[in-house]
Amino acid sequence: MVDRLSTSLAQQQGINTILLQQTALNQTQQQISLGKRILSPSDDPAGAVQLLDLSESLSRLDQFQDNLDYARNRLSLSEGTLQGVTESLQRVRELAVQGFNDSSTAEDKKSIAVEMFQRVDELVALANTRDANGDYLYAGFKAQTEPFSGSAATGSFSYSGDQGVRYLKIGENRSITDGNAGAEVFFDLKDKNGNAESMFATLYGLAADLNTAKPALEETLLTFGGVPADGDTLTVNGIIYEFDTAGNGVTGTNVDIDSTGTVNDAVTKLRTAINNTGGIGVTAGGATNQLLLTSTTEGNNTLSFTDGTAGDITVTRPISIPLYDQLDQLDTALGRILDVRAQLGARLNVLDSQDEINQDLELSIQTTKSQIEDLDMAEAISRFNLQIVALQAAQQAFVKVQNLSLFNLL
Amino acid sequence: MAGSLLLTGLSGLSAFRNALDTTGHNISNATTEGYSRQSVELDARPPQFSGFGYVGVGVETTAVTRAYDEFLATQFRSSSSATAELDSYFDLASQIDNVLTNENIGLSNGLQDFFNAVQAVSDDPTSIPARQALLTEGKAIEGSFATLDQLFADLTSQVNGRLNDTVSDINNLASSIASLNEKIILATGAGGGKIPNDLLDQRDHLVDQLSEKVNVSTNVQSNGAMNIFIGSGQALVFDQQSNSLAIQQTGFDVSAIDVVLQQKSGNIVVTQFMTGGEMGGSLRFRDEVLDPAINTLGQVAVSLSYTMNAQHNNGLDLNGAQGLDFFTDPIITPIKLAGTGALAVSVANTTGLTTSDYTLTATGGNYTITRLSDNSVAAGPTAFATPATVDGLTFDTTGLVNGDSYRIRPTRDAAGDLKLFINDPREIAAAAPVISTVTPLNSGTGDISNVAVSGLLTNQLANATVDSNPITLTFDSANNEYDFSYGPGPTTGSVAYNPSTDNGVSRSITVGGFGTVSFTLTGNPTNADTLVLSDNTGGVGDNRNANLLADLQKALTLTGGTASFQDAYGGIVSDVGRKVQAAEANGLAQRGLLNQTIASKDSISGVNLDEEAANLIRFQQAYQAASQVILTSRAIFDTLLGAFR
Repeated sequence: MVDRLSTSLAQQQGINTILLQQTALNQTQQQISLGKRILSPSDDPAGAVQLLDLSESLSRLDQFQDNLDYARNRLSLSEGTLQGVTESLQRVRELAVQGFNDSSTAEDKKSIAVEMFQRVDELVALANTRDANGDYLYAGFKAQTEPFSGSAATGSFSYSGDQGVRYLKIGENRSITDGNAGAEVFFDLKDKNGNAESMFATLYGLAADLNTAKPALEETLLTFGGVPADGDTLTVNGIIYEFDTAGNGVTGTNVDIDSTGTVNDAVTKLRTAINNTGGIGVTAGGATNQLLLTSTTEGNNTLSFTDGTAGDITVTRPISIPLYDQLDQLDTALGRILDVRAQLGARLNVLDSQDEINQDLELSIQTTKSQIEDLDMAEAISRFNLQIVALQAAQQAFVKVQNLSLFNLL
Repeated sequence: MAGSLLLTGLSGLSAFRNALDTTGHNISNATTEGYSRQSVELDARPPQFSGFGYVGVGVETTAVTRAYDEFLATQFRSSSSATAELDSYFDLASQIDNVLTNENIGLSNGLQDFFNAVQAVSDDPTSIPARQALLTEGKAIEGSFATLDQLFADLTSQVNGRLNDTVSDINNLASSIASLNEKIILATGAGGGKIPNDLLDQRDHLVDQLSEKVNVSTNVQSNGAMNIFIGSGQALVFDQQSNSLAIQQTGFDVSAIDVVLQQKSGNIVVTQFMTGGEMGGSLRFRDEVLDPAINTLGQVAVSLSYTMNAQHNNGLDLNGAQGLDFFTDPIITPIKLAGTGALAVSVANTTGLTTSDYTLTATGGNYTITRLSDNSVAAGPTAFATPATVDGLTFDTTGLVNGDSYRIRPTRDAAGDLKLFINDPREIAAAAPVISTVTPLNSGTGDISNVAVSGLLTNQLANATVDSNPITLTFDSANNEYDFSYGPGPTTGSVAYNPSTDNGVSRSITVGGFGTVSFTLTGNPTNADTLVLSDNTGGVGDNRNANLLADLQKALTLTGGTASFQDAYGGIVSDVGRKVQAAEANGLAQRGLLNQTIASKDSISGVNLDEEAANLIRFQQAYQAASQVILTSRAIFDTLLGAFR
């Protein structure tokens, strides 16, 4: 404690106190007017850096939401398109069933084929759908190359996209594809033979067959009324099965069907023989005296028979017709589309749940950020008032003390 | 004896007159800076012996002394130095502090917006507006770096300006002190050893002022001259002579200056000795805050341009061409201090990169690289013919000759040098150069994904082997591997893949003259299933490289793989913030100490007007009393004369 105070120091100290109070008041005033606790990093270095990190997280979340919206738009567009495709395919299937109905006349089939050809073009157009930016939805990475070419007029179809699939980041550790490449959706459908066939080709094939009035059956049923005459033959896709009723052998390389027993025995042997022939493209079934031939491969199977004793063999369904399985292929296509739509739905669900996650995260980051950065207004205002009172007191004290001088009394 | 009484009264009159003069002097100088309260020392005169004893004969003025405490003065100067240093440091550092997190200036928002724009391109790679937006954000990044670089450059010149001002202040003070020394020596001699208080006060005040500029220590010679030493002991004033400081450019940086002491033999660099005061504060700010901030910002710039370029080079742009550099490639120009050889330095990787400067010296056919941050040998001595990779830098030393000396500042200019290189939105390489195809007729479920290319050399895509001869991978179930072949040869090889254990494994194939293609294998392939890696033509919707570019935002590409760009920038923010915070707190503490010292010093030396008023009354009364003594003496004399009338 100093026992004497120089006059100028006393004055200076009085002013210093006032200046100090003013600085503190100014800081509080700035905090209040900005609503922020941290005005510059030095106010809270650790907090300032945390704020930078949090605002980066927020900014990334915003971008993830943008990405998510983008993915959602594309997936929704894809879903809408594929719904159109599904409806179209279902209509085609109805047409096909109707067209291949036994009661349809050739004229009926032709008129159905006309609509089907149109459906082919419609499907190609759908597969070439573009998004809002003019990018093809199903072209893979080749977004600006028309992926599908071909039409009902040419009858041949090609895919010039690739298998590329885009991933968009929709969360810190979550990416999602925003579509499917067209090859997977429309093109690389495996047929019964293991060959790739496009949906368009399947449709075109159906339409063409209807146009030429080919009936479409995958099965044919023959009923044997009695033991076939010796030397009667059944030709399936070029393989000749000869009934050997007399037990005297067969011609050339014909397959020997031992029919010395009952008709049922003969038919059973015939079924076994057909099933044992490799690569023939049909399987044989049926009960007792019937032979049911079912196509196992795609394409036009042929069947013919010679009937020595008329009535031995009754054809329940028309024979000398191609066996045909394009309807199966159409179902494969429909199945694929439904499959892809299921994937789209799943991804849209993922988007929705990620959307919620992102929003929750955003809220929690905002809360944390606010806790670090924002001012406790109630506290600040009461501090502000206190500082005002303190400053006023200092000013009044200063004035009072300044009036005290012995010289005033001399 | 009446005569003696008259003389006694006169002595009082004269002594109190002196005291009143001094009180008046004190009152007049009540607000003079550096003034020390003076007081008159009075002593009783030697008494006269008159048989019965000694009779007093009055008072005499022996000295006028100033109230001054050498110890407190020294303490005041050291506090004043420390306070001025912290004030100066705080003034400068808070200028950075305020802008680093400014939303419009700081780099943080720029980086975020930039990488968001990359993701927007990834969302829609064919969109020209999205690409244009990315270029705009790239320009904005360039602007952010340039703005901060300019701010730092401004601060550098501000430091230079302050040093310049401080040096001329110090020189003025030094010559004033020297001339006061001369006056004091003269006055002391003329006064027969009596001290010229006011001259001493003036000199002490000048030394006080000097202590605000730089640390100062003093000693007083017997002749009254004060010798002044500044910083850590550099003689500034000796007797009646003063030295001059000056500033000059540092050898390796045109923008930085050194403080030198001018001597007949030449200039001596004393920058490192100048501690305390405004000068010490400015220098410490430069060393502790500004230079590290510049270098760290540069480190971010180098890393950003280097990693972006490397990834961008691995991509394909919208024209189907290999990605160009995205930003200008970081250029490091070694500063030659001596010698005739040549040295080239380039970035080898960003994780090793530090914020330090380096020196390289070449002697006896060997070179030595020293890292200046810790003053340790980073490489060498190594023969010139063997280049070194040190801290993420490749030193091409083959052109060195003995006697060469270089200073290398890898990150110093990087922030200002960073520029957007591409300017056509189509030149943004969002696609990857290689695409995979799973053969549709495969009977198994083997799949390939995450195809990426690395190590693609500039302009090598054009003559890539992969271009016309795709890599075909054929699964060999007997050996659990994919056999691959490509090229006209063809070149063959295999990558292992065991479907039961390797699902999701990452494999790569290095194609000579092209680069390395890496991919992820999944699923359960059957024998002879094939996968094809081919050139990505027309893949304008491909966003794989854009995704990889976007991933760089969070990639730990700096400081040994521990920090992202944002982390490193945050490092500057927190570092500067912490230093400013510390300077502020220390400044407050130091100021408190200074105020206390001032109070102590002033309690001794300062003028209290109330006290002087009291003195005025006291000495006036004494003066009047002494007058009465003379009056009395005259009355006695008159009485005596009257007796004889």
